[in-house]
Amino acid sequence: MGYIISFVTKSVRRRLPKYVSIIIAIGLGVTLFVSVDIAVNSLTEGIITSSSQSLGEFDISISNNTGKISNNVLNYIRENFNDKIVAATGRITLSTTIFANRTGQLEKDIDVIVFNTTDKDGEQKLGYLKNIDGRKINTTEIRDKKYVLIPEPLAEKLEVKKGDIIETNIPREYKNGTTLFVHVVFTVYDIISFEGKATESQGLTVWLSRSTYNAIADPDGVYWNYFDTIWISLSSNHNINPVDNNYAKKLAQEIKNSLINYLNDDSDDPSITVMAIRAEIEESIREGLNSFKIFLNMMATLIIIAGILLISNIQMISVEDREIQIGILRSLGAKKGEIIRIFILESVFLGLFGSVLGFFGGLVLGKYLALYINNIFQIGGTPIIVINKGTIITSIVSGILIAVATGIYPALKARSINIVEVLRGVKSYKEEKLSKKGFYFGWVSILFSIFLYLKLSRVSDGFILTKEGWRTIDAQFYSLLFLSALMLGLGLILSQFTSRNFALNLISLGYISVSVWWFRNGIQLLNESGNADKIFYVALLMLISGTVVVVGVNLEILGAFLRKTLALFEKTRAIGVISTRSMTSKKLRAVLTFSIFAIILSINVFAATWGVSVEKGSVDLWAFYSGRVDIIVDLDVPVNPAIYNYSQMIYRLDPHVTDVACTRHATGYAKTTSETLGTPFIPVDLYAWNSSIMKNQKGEYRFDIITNPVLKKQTTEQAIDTLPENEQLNISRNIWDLFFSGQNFTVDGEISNGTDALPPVILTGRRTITDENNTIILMTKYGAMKFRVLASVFNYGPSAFSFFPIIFIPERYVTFFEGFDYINYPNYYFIMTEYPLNDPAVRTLAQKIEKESNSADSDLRKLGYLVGALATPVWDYYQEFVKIYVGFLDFLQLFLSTGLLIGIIGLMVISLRNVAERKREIGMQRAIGFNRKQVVLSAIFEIFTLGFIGLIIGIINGLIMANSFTKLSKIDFYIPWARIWLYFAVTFFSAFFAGLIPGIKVARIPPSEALRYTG
Amino acid sequence: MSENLVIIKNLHKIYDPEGANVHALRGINLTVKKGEMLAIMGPSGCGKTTLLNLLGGIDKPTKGTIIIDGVDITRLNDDDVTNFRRDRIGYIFQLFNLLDFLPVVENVALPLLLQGYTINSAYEEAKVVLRQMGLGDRVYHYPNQLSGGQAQRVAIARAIITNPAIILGDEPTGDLDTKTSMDIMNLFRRINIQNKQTLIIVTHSRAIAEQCDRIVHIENGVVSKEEIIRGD
Repeated sequence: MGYIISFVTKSVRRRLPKYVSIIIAIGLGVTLFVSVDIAVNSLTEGIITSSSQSLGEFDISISNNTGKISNNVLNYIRENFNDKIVAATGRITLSTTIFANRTGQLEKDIDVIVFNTTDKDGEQKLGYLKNIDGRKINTTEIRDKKYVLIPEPLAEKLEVKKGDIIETNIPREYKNGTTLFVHVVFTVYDIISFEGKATESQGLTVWLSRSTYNAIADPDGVYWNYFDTIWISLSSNHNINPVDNNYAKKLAQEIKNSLINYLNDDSDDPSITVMAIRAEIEESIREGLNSFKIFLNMMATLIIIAGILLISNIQMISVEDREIQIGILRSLGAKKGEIIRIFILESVFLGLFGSVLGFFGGLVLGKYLALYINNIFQIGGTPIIVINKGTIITSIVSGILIAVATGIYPALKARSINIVEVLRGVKSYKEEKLSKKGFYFGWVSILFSIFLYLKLSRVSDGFILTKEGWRTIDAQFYSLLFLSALMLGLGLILSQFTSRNFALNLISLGYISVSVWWFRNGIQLLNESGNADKIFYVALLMLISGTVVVVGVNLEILGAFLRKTLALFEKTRAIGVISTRSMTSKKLRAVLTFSIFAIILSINVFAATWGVSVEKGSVDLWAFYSGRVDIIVDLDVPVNPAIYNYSQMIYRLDPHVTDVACTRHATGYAKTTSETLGTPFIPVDLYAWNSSIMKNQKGEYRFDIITNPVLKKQTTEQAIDTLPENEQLNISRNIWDLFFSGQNFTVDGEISNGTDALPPVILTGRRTITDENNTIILMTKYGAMKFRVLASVFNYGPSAFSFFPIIFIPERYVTFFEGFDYINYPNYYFIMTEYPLNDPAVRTLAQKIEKESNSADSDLRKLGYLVGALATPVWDYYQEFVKIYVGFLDFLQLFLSTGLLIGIIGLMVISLRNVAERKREIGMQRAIGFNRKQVVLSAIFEIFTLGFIGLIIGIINGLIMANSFTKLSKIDFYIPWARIWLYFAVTFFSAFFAGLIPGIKVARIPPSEALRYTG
Repeated sequence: MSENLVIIKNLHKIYDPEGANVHALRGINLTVKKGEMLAIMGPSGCGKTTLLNLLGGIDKPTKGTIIIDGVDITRLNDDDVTNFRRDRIGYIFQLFNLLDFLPVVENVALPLLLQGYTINSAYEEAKVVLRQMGLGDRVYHYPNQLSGGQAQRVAIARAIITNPAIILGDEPTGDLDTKTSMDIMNLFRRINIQNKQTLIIVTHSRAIAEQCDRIVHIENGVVSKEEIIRGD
């Protein structure tokens, strides 16, 4: 081993200039992994820090489905968990609009925090509120008075100061269960500094004493002893004493079990929810960003595959360059294993150099990635750059792994050189059959395909795949894997009986056919589940490998074609023969060279095409999804139409308004029936409809039912979207009629009034909460209740944009839910106009609506209403979506461009090494009459051809994939010509200079000197 | 007596690898007649190959003139000397210097393609010459599939295909056994007689040199002796 180390160190030192390109390529690969690691860690910490700040010092929340939790529970917690918690406090939090009288500023969605000024427990332990001058605020001074405290950020937004008057609405609840909004005027008692508790909800809060609130909101004194949430702190200062997430979750479970006992809640689905909220948020952020990290790492891996191809290519050139050296070593007695060790050890050295380079590259790129992502997703704040031990380990391990992975094949190649041939200087360029190893590998592949088929039969309907069985993620995933393994196995076995080219053609054409077929037909599943990404990756790899191999195998045909084309011109005849023959003589190297570009450009062109299609081609889709709604108006306080007819006001503002629909909207909680008992409910938007408000002035239902594919089976015998349009409309009307018929339904969809009958709901949109059980559980005032899902409606205004899933409930069931008092007072308006979706007049109308509602001199204000109206053109939602989406795709392209850089470096290095290695041949060419220009042109043409093969494969693959995605999403397909020209230009110039520079360099060498070159 | 095809006057060549200043040729004066078959002999490092390279225009002399067929090639620029070499000189090397990645026919046809022949006519011409060389059945073979003698015959075919005025051979039999070497020399003689082409061959072998019309001995960069083997 000693001589190997000594040999390797000397070899690396001597060949270091030649290895620079390898080290750079490894460094770029490591840079990608390290930068993803740093960027995602930094973003994670940044988001966690800002989310934690929103929680103040709280760790655990206790709530229940009625939104009213007794003071007894708070006392119970304090008594029984005193030694485990720092503080427990009860809160009521309302989201409302605040209006500042002096400045006329209005801010919506501000949290009013109702706190108990006598609650010394939470108060003292979590610190005191201080004003902006640093003075401690005695909160008892605002008791029983119409005083509020405002944190600095909100004070700045409203431009208010101490002593100013603000107005808001507080819901007042009466004994009979009804709720009314009361317009209240408060005086700002003090401005509190943005620290400690005042950081809750980012400081966009108004602090109100419990006694004042009760006097306003609870005139009957019914809810005096109730909160909406109890908050528990496990540390008084999380910056100094952070809390372990697992401990918080364990304690939350312990508290829950204890409370279930205390409350004697023996129901299957306990109404109490105890959540280690800080830990849950942190974990969900980590989980969410981890998926993002996995996605970026997948992309990085693709780029690194391109990098590996480059490094392998250079390593192979290096092996060929050193064949005589290896031959001499072997003839002197070096064993095959020792040759392998020499090459692998060299790779490890190179990997270490690359790791160091990549680590520093990653630091720089990671910082910029974090800032870029921060900017795209409008996360806000400056990301804190996080470098931990994992990052350093990632850089070292990935560097060495990349280097070793790329060193294995050349090492095996070096091991198996023919000593006699290399010492004689003979090179062979004949086509060989795949070796026996290929034959055995073929059988292994067949066996693996059988294993995959068995897996497939388990996840689908059985051994024979049916159309329905195929419609699951796992079935498609295993089908593609099965077909890949089967075709590979059969091809390799076949190659023993026929030519290698024929076998490889069969395999690669099979891969292309299957992947293209999937992109045309199987891709729909991607629309239905985010987990279908893995199928996409398999199909992507099949398509890229298929196209690369099929072109590689038939490179001679392409070479002959180019040769014939160049032969048409006198000046290029000899160049054509030399460059095309030279290109096809080292097929593997040629394939490795163009596949670098093919891989990178496939993804780049896909991202660019998809991005421009989303940007330009989805207006009609959004118009459809929005249900032809142009503006959505959200009022934070329902308006009594008898006092102020909001719809009429809208009609009055613009004669082009064709329809205004209004309804009531409230927040509910739901989960699917397949989820286990105890699974937390998630927030959903509930919309209450009756048939008259769902119908327009012509008496037609405003929104058409278009079923969610998952629910097709349960809704109708046939899939609605495959029927002619008029039949679809008939079915849609029938479903609405059923929904409003006042009937209940069995799980099978039969009308029934029996005990098995369930009330109907209709789900909407793209973000659904559903499974195949066609039922859903909603949290009602009377506990968890099961509902029958009748259908899904896709083309409904808010559903395309809503953060939460949207559920329609028939108006007759609104009494089951909180927030639907005075059902005839609408708070949600859908406005349809004659204008196109993106007409500027729509925005003007939206601005007029807001002014008419929110301004100090509006009719509503004169009538004493304080209404915070948010009128948003649907086009804005769309633009916002497109901005983030296209921004992300741009980011993806930027990220992938690192791969393009690898491709360019690859072309240059390969061309340089190629030309350098062929000095003697070039000397000979010069001797028989090639002039310098012809030598340079030959070099350029060869590398040009390879670059352009990669470009063409990349463009075709990218367009195939993007076209399928546009069909899937029903958006118009646009080809990003500007980007394609850019890639063309990049390929053109990089290939041109890659050929030109070494070409000129070698053409300058006197032929007599070149002829003496021996490697 | 034939006219002089090659006139070399006071030819000097100094190599300067890393300041070593090697004086390879120190004033060569030599003439070669049209249709003559000339052997150049001398010990290793005496300047034989350098002289041949200068004659072929693949290297530049430090001083002196080389007139071939009335053209002073030392005054031509790189493009012109390349064209001159392409049209008027055939080159044969000890190690054959065939392009490994081209089949035999393309190796041979390459000089014609450079002259502007179409692919088909160049290939046809190459096949004719290869048949003359006894390689009719090796047309689509690759160089690594040929024996040393066959490879050298391909190299000769490539050298003569443009019917050059002069053929230069740098130890063309140096890598071959005695019998094959003699076969190659017979081939050279046949070409020399049939095509009236001038051949200048660098060799170490006295037996090979004796197949030529005249032997020029070079020592320390100058012509030390001339021997007439046959002819007038």
